[in-house]
Amino acid sequence: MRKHLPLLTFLGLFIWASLGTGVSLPKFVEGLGDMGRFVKEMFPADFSEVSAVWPDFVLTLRMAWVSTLVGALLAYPFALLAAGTTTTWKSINGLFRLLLNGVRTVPDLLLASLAVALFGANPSAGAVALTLFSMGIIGKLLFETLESIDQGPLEAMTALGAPWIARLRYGALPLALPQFLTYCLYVFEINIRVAAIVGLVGAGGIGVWMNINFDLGQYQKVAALLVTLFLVVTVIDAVSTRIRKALAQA
Amino acid sequence: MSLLKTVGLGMTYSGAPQPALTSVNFEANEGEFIAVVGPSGAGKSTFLRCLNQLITPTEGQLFFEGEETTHLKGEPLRHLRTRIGFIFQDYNLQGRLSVLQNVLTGLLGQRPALQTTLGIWSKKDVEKAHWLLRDLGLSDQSQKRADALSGGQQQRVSIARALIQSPRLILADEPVASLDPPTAHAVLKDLKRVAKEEGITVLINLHHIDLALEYADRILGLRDGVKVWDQPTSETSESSFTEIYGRNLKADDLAKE
Repeated sequence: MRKHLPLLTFLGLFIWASLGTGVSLPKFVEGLGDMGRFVKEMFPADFSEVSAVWPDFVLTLRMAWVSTLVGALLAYPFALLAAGTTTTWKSINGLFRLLLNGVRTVPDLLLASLAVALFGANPSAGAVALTLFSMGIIGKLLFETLESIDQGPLEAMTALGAPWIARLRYGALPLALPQFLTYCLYVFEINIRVAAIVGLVGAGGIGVWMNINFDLGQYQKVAALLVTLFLVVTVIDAVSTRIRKALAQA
Repeated sequence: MSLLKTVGLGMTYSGAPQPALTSVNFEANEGEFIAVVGPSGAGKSTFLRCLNQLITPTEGQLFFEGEETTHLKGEPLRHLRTRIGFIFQDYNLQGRLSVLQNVLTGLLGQRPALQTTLGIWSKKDVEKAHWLLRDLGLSDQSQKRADALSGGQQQRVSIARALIQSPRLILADEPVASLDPPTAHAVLKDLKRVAKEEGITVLINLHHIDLALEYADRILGLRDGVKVWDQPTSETSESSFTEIYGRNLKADDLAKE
């Protein structure tokens, strides 16, 4: 019995979750049929307008990139203040951990909707939402990295009377930097997809065109946009993965 | 002249039933090379770390250069630490930075933070770092990453990092415990030579009695956090060590660790 506890817990949670969402096998099979019809309507993909909206693909990438960078810059001080290794003031640690958790609690689409309400339906709204989204993820990952770095160099810095900022610069950052860059690239990969999604609520980028074509029932055009996005994401993922591998060995 | 003095120094870790250190009265004079010996758990490391307040002592008083330093905090404590070098068993270098940069970090407490954060070092400081590395036989290694060096070389880099502080005192916590015996001797010889040249007082925790006997001017024997004896090396006898280790040491001290 004891041996099977993890499996039983897992199954129990699965049943509990599926009852709540109304998922069942017959419904799933039925859904597959609808899905089939939907996919059929998407064929053949209509690429006629892809070149016309290409600038919006580029815009989506730019939104993703700038938000990753600004989000990373904002995440850095948050993580340094949240980690007990770099900041030994416990109440400050607690406050900044809470803030980092808070940012991540807000779903990305809600962030985007809020940003649209504040800045209007344009790419800068999307960029603001994505920046906060990036900051949440990078901050959390970097904070966890800083918590687990080798304490030795930091202890040496304390022992020789280095001020706080110098302790960070020479004790912690050299150890966390490769990880930090890896997280930035990883979040950039996520951001391209999210940048396309936030377009659905009008926050600029290629998502806006997907939404419009979807509402007009132009599924063949939606398909073309999806295929193009897939190709763009694949290329960027491949490049980014290579760079991350190189960083892991640095 | 007295450089460092402790009066009734005691330390109890929070939650620990026994104190790690109990009323240690101790005095170190300028230029002395003093070994602290005792079995594992005798409080050697706690004692050393209380002296520069990496650990805050719970009882007693500390004096450095005749002034009381017991309750120093913040800037004054940081300033005190700039005059005390600390050498760790596992070197505690920043492995991803170059050997030269590691030596320069010894000055982080003494140069403007803005400047050091940007990585700007004066020509004089860089020259001094090079000079120290040359003196310790590491001039070819200065541009290598610190983690590419052997253990003995890394410990020499950490000695250079302590020396560039121009310290009055160096505290060395088991500095050769991770090194093989020939390297341990070579590193201790270097440490003793530079300390004598510069007139720096050294307090060194050593597990091996034979190393203490060979290099120290004076030996402090600790057991269960209590000072058992404190005498010039020439006056110690086999019974002194039996007293702190509780058995004949020559037979198995090497086998123990």
